[in-house]
Parts: sequence; structure tokens; C-alpha cells
Amino acid sequence: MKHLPRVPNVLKVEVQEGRLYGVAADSLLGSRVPIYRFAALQAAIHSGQGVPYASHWPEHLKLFVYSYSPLPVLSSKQLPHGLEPEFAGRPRPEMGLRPWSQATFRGWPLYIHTQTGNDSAARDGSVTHLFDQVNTKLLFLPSPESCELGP
Amino acid sequence: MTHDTHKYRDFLSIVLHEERLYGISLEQGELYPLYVYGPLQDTLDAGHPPPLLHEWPEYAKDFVAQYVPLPVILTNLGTLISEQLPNFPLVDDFLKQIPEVLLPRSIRNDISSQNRQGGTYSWEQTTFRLWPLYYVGPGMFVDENSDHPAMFRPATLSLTWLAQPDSQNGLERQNDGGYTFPPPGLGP
Repeated sequence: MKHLPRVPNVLKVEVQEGRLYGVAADSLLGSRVPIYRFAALQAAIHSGQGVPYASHWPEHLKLFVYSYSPLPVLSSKQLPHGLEPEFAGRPRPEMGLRPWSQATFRGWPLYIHTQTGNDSAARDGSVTHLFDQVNTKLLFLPSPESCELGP
Repeated sequence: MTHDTHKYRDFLSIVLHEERLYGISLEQGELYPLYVYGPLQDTLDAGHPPPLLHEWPEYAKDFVAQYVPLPVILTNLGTLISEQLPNFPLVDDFLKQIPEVLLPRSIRNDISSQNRQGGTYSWEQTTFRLWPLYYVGPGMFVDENSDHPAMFRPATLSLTWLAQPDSQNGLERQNDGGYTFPPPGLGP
């Protein structure tokens, strides 16, 4: 890695057309970025395996996974009105590259991607992606203590 | 998620439209947009090329399994001919040259194949400028307006040839001390 990851500078979370976005004041991020969850997490928990944190991912996937940065915990005034109780935080491994506490939405750890891109809803039948933009219809993530909830 | 995808579709040829590559399915004559694994060059440069699908971690496998390696076109030409033209003389050498002839001339020299023996998808996979090609479906498609960066990307004419990195990390060493490039079984 060229430099250590920095805490994303997200000023607040907004909802637009049922999806979560972060508003940033950072030239690296652009002004509004989708907020993602690691979509495969639930299936991984269900299988009993969980998902390791990024530093324990295979080498060939590290560039990819490190491009998704954990959203830091925000204060309630930075959260969308009416949805504040759905947000919480969770600690991350101290020895990892992104050790800051991470925001969660209904138990799902949240991420932003460190490049800009298009933002539209995926259509039905489309390929499911590893990271998916968070939708406000998202159900709670049931998470047993025994599983790692990376990345 | 389960996939009944240890088989592949047969493809007739590869065509171009507005600089993008598509496979034509033999059965239905449908167009399948073709994709490459975007991070591939970066992972080669870093000395950690991706393994074939079966060696991917469980939590990422289902996603990748949606992208099916494009088989060599007209892989089953011999079988097809013997089914449809029972008296047609089948000559192996002749059959092997047909697919190359049917590729569009503009990309013929860009097309090769790689071996995937031992993998979940174990057939010979078409490559374009050394990038392994994939298709999605049937019944699924890639929503190209949605924001999912960094993974599979459309195969287009602007793709530069997969380049051998300066360092030899992660490349397959040959008996004479040299390295093969590209390494066999480039994933996913």
C-alpha cells in the first residue's frame, strides 16, 4: 500500500430514493458517495464462517477490499432524520489498518468506496456484487458473537 | 446461492459493437456481453495473481461464480456436425482450424485461450489480449449503471495487452529458470 488509510471525512449521511449516501468534504471522495455494506456477510454468518477483517484476506484481493473504507461512527445530528436509532457503531481490530470504530446500520457495518462512480439503483435480475449500496429497506443483520464480521 | 454452472454455453463467435466484445450463443443466437477481471493487471504487478475460482475464499466465491469463463468458440463443433450432418467427414485438424477462421479478422490475433484444468469451471477459456474473458447468465446481467467499481469490467477494444510485470513474483517458474507469462490458470 502506498500510504496508510485515513478515516473518511464524511460530514453526514443522507437518504435519497431509499438509499444511503455519505456527504464528504474531501477531494478524494467527491461530494456525495454511496454507502455500502459487504453483501455476502449474511451468507457467511449463516454458514458459520463469518468474514475475516481485510488484513486476513488473500493477497490477490487486498487491493480490492482496502478500496472500501469503513465509515466512522457519526453523531446523531449527522444522521438522516428519523433513522438515527438504526445506526450504531462497532469497534475494529486495533492492529488493523483501519482501526477506527465503524458505523453500522441495522447491524450492517458500513463502508464507502475511495473512488467516485455512478450512482443508480441496480435493476432486478442483475448480478449481485460483493459490496452493495445500502437501501433503507435493509433488514437487520443477525450476528452471533462467534463470527468475525469483516472486512 | 447455488449455480448450475459447471457447464458452459456453446458459443458461435465473438462480435464487436461500439468497441465492446460480445459472444453469440450457439443455441439461441443471443448476445452475451463479455467481461474481464479488472484488477488482474494490478494483481500481476503486485506478484499476487488471482487463483481459479475454487481457491477463492467462501465469502467471495458466490459473487465471482456469476462470471462464467467464456469457452473457446465452437468447442463442440465435431459433435454438432456429427449430430446434424451424420455423413460429413470429421477430420480433427480441419475442425480445429474452423473456430479461428470464424473469428472477426480484426481481433483474430488478439484471441487465444488458457487452460483451467482442475478448476470448478474446468474448460479451456478464451482470452483477449491475454485477459481471460467471462460472460454472465442466462437470466442474469450486469447493471452497468450501478456503482460497483473495481471488479469485472466490460471487455472493449481499448483494453491493452496484459503485461508481464518487471518483477517475477508469483509467476510460474520453468525448468530452464525462466518464467512463463502469463502464468497458467489466471483466475478467477
